[in-house]
Amino acid sequence: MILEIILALAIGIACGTFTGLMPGIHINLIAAFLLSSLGYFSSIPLISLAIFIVAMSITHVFIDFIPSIYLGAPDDENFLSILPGHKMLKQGKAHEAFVFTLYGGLTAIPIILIFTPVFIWFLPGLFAIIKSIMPFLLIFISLYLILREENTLNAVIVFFLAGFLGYLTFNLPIKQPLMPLLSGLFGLSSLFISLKQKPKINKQKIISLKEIKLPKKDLIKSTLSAAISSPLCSFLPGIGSGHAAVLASEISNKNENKNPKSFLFMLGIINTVVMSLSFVTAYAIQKTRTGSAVAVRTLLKQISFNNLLIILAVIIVACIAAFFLGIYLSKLTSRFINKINYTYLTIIIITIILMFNMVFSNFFGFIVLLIASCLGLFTILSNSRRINMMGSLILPSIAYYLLN
Amino acid sequence: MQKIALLALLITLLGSIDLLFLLILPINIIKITANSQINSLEINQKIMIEGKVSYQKTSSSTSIIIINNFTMKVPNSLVTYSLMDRTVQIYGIVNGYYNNKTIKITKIETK
Repeated sequence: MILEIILALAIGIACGTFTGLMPGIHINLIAAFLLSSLGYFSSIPLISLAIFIVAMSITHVFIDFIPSIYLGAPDDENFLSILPGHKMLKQGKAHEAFVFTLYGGLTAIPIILIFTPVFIWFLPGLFAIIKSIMPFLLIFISLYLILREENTLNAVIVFFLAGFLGYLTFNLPIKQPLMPLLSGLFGLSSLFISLKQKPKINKQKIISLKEIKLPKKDLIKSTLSAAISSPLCSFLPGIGSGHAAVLASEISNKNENKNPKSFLFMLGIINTVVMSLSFVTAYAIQKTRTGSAVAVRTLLKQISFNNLLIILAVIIVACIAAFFLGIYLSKLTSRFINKINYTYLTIIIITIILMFNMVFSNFFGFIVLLIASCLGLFTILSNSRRINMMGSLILPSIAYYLLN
Repeated sequence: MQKIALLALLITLLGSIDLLFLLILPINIIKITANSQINSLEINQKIMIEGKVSYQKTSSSTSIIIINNFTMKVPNSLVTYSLMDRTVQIYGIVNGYYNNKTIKITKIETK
């Protein structure tokens, strides 16, 4: 049994590294594949499969900052890291930028451990109250995000078009609907832009971990803001890491332009906390807010307290393993990135995303991918914040709560 | 850049309208798995079906639903077609016909 657990953990970390490095390949895809082919894994205990999913998800949230920072190819969780990451890439500091996200990921461990009992004790009661006002809460959050924009009209257009597209996507017979929607909105659009801009990548500096540090004041402020915002965004439908990051930067007054290092550190904390607490949320209120939590809950049917303890242990081990793996992979990427033709690399990534969508989604999915890419392009070119595209998940959730 | 942004917006608008038409067109196919099974259907049962489902609105009064190669003719008034949670719900079967194949159903709720 112990050998199986260790093996599941190791394979999970390996798969998470692969999905993290490959832009456009989301963990949800692997989780969906695993669930659809459960028959082949009938001899493996379900808890081992759940461990595999948890280890893969945690490793993925650590490693997927590499394509986001080095290639400008993010997914729905870390799209906010593009701007600060790209800025530091141009200065030859991509490794440093990535290490800040890794530091954030490690800092998330105590936050997760503190909020787990809080979620178990208070979330059921709190959620019962929130549930009745859920659509209005989501409307309030959406309005807040739109109204804080400089160009409100563009934000409204992006939010509603994304919402409309999201609603259509979830209501059409599309295989893996999230894949074309999110890789179009956040992935392909940014790749098209970087293809047009043809950035020249400077030689990247690899500095030791001792030299990569945040001032104490920034460290405390960023940690506290992320600790407040990420648990809040871990149990609401359609609200995730991006919203937590906006909220955290409002609290700490540190945005991606003012202080990119603190911002990246904050993003690292938020992504890990949101992913990890989604498993705790699945245990506490039986609601799943990430594809990985859906997979774990489907596998285990009912997550027991013992299961939760195992999941927490896996999260901690995966965080530590992903930290060291991340450093190694980032150093490797830093060494080779300026030797690679960025235009060719971008074209290869675009081709991979298109191919994956053709293989794992279907014809309707491909149409959604193209439309979502155009909306993503419009969002970037009209200087609207990409967070408004999360309307693609929030609006269908509002519609669901209002209509049911 | 301004022109490209407008072009992208235009494609998004036209594409979304296209998808809307696809949504309201009568044929939709959903692929989902099945867990359990029953052999008959009764009136006034709300049935949430998971399987390879093909739904076709044949006229203003009837629909044909094909689930795992199993065909049913159902009055539209009895069908709630919710793709939001990937289910077809049928409130009982009137004038329904089906072949000998077993229909796989995951959840039955009395209306």
